[in-house]
Amino acid sequence: MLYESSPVAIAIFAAFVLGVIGLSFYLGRKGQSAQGYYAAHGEIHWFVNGIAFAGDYLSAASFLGICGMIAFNGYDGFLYSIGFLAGWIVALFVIAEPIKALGKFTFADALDSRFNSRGIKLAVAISTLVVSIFYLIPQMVGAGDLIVPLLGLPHTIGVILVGVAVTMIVVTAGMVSTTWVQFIKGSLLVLFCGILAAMILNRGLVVGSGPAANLTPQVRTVTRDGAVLIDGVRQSKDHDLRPVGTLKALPERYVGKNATGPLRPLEYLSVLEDSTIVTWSSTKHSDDAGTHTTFTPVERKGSDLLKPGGYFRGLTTGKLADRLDFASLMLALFCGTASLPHILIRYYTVKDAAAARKSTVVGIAAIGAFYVLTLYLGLGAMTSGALDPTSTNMAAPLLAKSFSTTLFAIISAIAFTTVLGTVSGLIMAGSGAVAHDLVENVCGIPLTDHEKVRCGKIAAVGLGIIAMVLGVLFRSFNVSFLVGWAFNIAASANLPSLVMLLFWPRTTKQGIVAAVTVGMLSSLAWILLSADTFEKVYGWSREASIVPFSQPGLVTIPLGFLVLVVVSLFTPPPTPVRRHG
Amino acid sequence: MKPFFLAVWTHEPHDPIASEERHEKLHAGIAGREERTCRANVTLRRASATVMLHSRPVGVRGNHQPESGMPAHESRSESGKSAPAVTASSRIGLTLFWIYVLLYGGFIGLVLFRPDLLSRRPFGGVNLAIAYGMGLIAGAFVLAIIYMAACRVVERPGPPRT
Repeated sequence: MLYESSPVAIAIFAAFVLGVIGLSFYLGRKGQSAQGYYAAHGEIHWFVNGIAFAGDYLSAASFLGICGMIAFNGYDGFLYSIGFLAGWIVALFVIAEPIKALGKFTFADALDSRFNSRGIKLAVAISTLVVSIFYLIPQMVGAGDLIVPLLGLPHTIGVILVGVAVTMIVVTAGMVSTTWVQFIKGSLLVLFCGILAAMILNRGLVVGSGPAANLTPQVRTVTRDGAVLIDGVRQSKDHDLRPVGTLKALPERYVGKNATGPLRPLEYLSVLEDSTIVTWSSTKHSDDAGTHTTFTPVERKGSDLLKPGGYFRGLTTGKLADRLDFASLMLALFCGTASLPHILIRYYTVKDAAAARKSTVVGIAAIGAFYVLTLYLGLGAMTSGALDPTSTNMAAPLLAKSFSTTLFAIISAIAFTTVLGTVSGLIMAGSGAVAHDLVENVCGIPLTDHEKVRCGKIAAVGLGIIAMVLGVLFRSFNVSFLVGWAFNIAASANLPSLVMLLFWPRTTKQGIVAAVTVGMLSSLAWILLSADTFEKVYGWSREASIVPFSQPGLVTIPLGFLVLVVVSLFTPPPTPVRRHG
Repeated sequence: MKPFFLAVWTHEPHDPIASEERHEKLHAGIAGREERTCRANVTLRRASATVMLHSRPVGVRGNHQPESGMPAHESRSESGKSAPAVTASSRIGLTLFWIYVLLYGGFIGLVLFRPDLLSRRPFGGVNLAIAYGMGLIAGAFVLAIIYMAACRVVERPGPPRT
């Protein structure tokens, strides 16, 4: 669909984004002084730190991707919410305390603390780089999807804008994500999504009318020379795809009425379950004229949409590949949070263990509340009559736009600054891995401080370019699906080594190197050979793919464990464990 | 007073480890011989105590670092946490983890093998799929609170050591 930009929306958006960036620089500079230093280390209240956890963790992928998936596929998007939150259990209950006992802050340090091995440093640096890149892709895609309805620019331009902006920020000053900035972002995200959810409940469920209620199939054609046709006519402001996503019929108890009026939270869900909803599916085919995507309305009962099987069709048909895919996703999400290098750091930058746990409780509460909200946002978008059939990621902003331009601008701005923060953090971490770990430690090239900074900046630019290219290549994916893939790789590469290092004394350094390498390469290869990548990135046929389902975790995570155990048993045992302090 | 940076050097042990008896005495409460010898070799307690002794008159506050093993002084919860307490909170964590695995696994099992049950509406309003999903989210929060409370109990500092 084509979008017109609204000057008001742009003004609010720009003011917001510049405000947060400015605040971030100001607080960052203040943090360099002694007062700020002490404030950051140990004097941040556990509640503030807890909300900052949420600000750190909730990327735009949660907000855009999960809402979009729920809006188009129903319950299956909620599986991501459940999985993302459940991962905290592994991080908090299994990993956090033992790593702390090792006296280290990150798993990379923990893995290396015992062995001090160049092989481990290399494997971990590459794994961190790969996971960071895969985590970057959905952020860039999401940023493009935020820009499109706001500025009316094509997705590719949006991705380039973001990529250039972030790379410039990182290279010139570095965006300092102090605890306070994350606290502000986290609370704003939860607050405004709460407001949006309240507005959805207040609007209640309304039978669709207007263009979205038109159930004629639509065809979008991209001709060989790149022109876009809608139903055979050139796409323009006056001739465009119709928005979709409506309620067709309310339950019998509302006979004669078109709207339910305001509903309570649980009521909203039960009324929706008894309603009939029109979702839209698409099929693609190519011929001499070009590539045609046909969007067809599908009438579904609410009760079918509000249970698993909307995306994982095989859960209802019994198809084995889909059921394995589902189990694989749930496993990867469960194991993935603890395997992400940047997640646990905040756990250690508080005063003591009691404060750390309190702040984690607050974090889990905020993140959990947010995920519950995403269910309502997704369902609200599903029946909003405002969805763009070509993009799942735009569901949430378009939903906000259907209520008010101001809310749309503010929510887009919050999501956008979240993306900026995540992307700059990832680029900085990635460039650090290149400059410090790969070049200096592994290649053994000594760098002066000045050279190290310059190397990091060159790496940052390189990563920015890679991120932009991949953001364009993967633009038709739902962003939480992409994050799920990043979780798969992180869990396959890192979790086996982390768990076995902490709990199995016979782990050797060769075992760790092998496990990290095999886990990362196998999950990466699986993803690059999956049907979704074949279809949406390379433009090949889905059937040509050789892997049976799209989430590698079920195979590659156990593979990592197996490789570690076998290689460790075949290599000399390590010297006895000594814990320092 | 201006902020300052102070590096406190302690020994990094390597095989073969042999520690002075006066240092080993400081860790008499530690059960395992190797652990005791190692800690004594690190001399962290002595080094930190020396710093504290000399910084007190100058009025410097203790710095809170999340390294376990800082001596009993400013951060009581760190010092009170000896090896058994660290294991105790890890053990609680693992127990709660397995409980959650059962709940999470139960959900996956239902989806895979009894999806018909997920359409039922046990509470009259929402179906089991949604109720169970929300329950897993709420359950994570509840378990985190239990964990926090339980760890506070086991980490209550014991009688002071020399």
